[in-house]
Parts: sequence; structure tokens; C-alpha cells
Amino acid sequence: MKNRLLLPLSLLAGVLAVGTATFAHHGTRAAYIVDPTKELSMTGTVTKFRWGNPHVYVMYDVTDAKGNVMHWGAETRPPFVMAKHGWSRDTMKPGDQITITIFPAKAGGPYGLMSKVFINGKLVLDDEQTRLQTDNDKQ
Amino acid sequence: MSRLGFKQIMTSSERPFQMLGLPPVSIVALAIVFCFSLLFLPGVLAQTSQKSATARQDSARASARAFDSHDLSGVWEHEGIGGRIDSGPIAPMTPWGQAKFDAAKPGFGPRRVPPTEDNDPVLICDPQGFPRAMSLENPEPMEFIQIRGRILQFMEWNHNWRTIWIDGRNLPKDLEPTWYGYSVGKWEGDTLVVKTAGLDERTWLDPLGHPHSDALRVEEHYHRVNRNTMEFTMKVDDPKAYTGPWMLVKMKILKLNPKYEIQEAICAPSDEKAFNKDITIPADTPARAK
Repeated sequence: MKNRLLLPLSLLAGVLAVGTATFAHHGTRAAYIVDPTKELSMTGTVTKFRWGNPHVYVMYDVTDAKGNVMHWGAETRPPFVMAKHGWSRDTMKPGDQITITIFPAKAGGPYGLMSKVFINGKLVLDDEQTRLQTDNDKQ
Repeated sequence: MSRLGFKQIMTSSERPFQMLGLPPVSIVALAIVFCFSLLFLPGVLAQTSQKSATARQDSARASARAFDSHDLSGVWEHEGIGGRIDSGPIAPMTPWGQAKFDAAKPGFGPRRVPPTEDNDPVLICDPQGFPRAMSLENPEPMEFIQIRGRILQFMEWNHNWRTIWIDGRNLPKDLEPTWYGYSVGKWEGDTLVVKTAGLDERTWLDPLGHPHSDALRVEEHYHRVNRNTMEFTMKVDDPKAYTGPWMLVKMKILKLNPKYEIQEAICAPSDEKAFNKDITIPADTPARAK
């Protein structure tokens, strides 16, 4: 079950009218630049994976060409939502190789909102709904 | 003799029946039954076919009708995608209401602020309370259980529940405010009209920060239009905060999902704390120059 492709999240995209305000429970989306032209992709190593409310998140280290290590963090949806799409507390573990595409934090720090995730080369998240820009995202 | 003669005459055609162990007299009887059945078979087949077609139609109609409009039991989810509120025009606020609205810093809508400035009470896992928990801002389904004299509503988000008394009682007077208030429902035709009072003014009406006072009265309408579909509206009336009543939910369509099992989704303060420490606060804090 773990690491299963999240096609259902992609399917929801067709239902969501762009420009319509939708609410999660926590307004953390406001902290990110949700603009498809501003996505960042990177590969790193998982240091922490937290399966809890309000949102599931991962901490990971990215090493640049000079050997400098940057600590990153990225969040996604609540665990009970992710569970419906095949994720579990075992989807990631420290040491896993993560290739991740995120919407970066407006504040400029190494944080992001997950858009697409591969774990050890396997696609585990392709969240088209998150990628849809709403009017709120443009503010 | 006659028996023997009969036997002799019939010998050639009798063998198959003898092999079945049937006495000769039964052969005649079977032949008669067979002839009659040939005469009536087409009619019998036609009737059987008609009966099964009618039975199928009846079954389809029964399935379409198989609901009690005065029973709201079941798991209900949003038609299409949830997580939206459709409020009517919001009545102008009183000065008291405006001051509370100005103090609210929501994470959504035109007045939204960054997460670290957001003072939505749910961010510290305060209860959403009523009516917010039923304003349908939550995309998660709800399960209604109707038993004698009451309806219990279980909301998936935060594992909340509330009681609607449908045993004919009226709203008590001088209710002490609580997060979910006190609710009574009465059937008006096929619409359940639910009135709620005694609400704690610490909750917001919606994620946009609209306030209310403990004078708030809420009226919900539930109308199960067929087995799978329910119409839902919610009106709020709070003379301390607004100059008139308005629709917090203009019209929502809920769909029955008999296969869904309500999940656990709890806002645990310790989870919230860890998330804020690891993600919310640093993500929302300007990066330091190196």
C-alpha cells in the first residue's frame, strides 16, 4: 500500500473550478508562492517524516555541488486525507532519497508546499489540485 | 393377460421409461402432461418473462423510493468538491460586530494574513464549534444517526458530534453558552427545521473571521429530496453582531455515500505544536541573510 501513486488526487483537479475559494483547516497555503512558474525541484535525503495533523510533512537535506548541506522542510495534506490515497506513516523514512517539487515559501526560507514527490525513484505524489491557482493564491 | 399384452405392445417404446424405473401407467400420464404443457408453454413463458420484467421495474422503483424522507441517517458528503462556503449577502455589522471582525486575522479570503499572524481559534485546536462545523467549510463527510427522539451528527473533521433533539421539545430558556449550543428540530412537511441557541462567542462563523455573539440564533433546513440527495441551508441571526439575519449557507447539496466509513481526524495540540515549530513558523519567517 505504501508508496502508491496518488492518481485520485489528480482526478480531483477536473472538479475544482479555478478561482473558487476552497478552505483547508489551516491557512498555511498562504505562506507559499503557489505559481506553476515558480516551482522548485530538488533531490535530497529524508531526515524526518511526520505523520500527524494538521499536515503531513518531511524534513530533508539537500547537498549542493560544493558540498554545502541545506536543511529543507515541505508540507502536504492531513494524514487522514493522505491515507485515503495510499500514504501511511511508512511512506518515507530517514535515509530515503527524495526528489521533490515544491512551491517555495514567500518568506524565502528553505520550505515548501509539496506538488510532486518521488521516493527512491518511485512517484508517490502528483497533486494537481494543489497546483491549481486560486484567486487567493494570486493575492 | 391384458397386462402382459399391454406390456408386449408397448415394449419397444417402453424401454427408456423402464430404464428410469417408472411404471407403465405413468408413461400415459407423462404424455398427457407433456401435451398439455406444449399447449400452454408459450403463454407460461410469456407470463414468466412479463413477471420478471415487472419485478425488475418494481425493484428499480423500490430502490429509487427506498428512503424515508423523515430519516436523515447515513454518511453524507459534499456534492462535487467540499471545502467551500456559499454565504448569502452578509448583513451589515453592528459596531460591536465590526470591532470583533477587525480583530480577527484570518488565513483565508481578502483579509488573509501570513500563518504566523493568523489568529483563527482553530489554529490552536480550539473547537470549531457550531455553526462553523456545519458551515461546510470542511471538505470531510459527516455521518447522521437518527434514533428515537434525536439525531446525532458526527463530523469527520475533529471527531466532533452534536445532538439535535426531535422529540418535540422547545429550546430551553437562559442557556449557558457552549461550543455546540443546544439544538431542537421539528418536521415541517419533509423539511427538518433545526433551531440552535446557547452558543459560545469565542468561535468564528467561518474561516473569513466573521464573528458572532452569544445572542446568535441559527436555523438549519434539511430536505432529503431523494434517497441519495439532501438540500441544506443555514440562516444566522445575531442582533448583537449584525443588523439582520443572513444565510451562512445559501444552499448545499449533500450526497449519500453508504460505502464510506468515517475516519479519525483529530486536531491534537501536540501535533499542532510540532507542525508549527518545524514548518509553519520557519516557513513564514523571512530567511536570514548569510
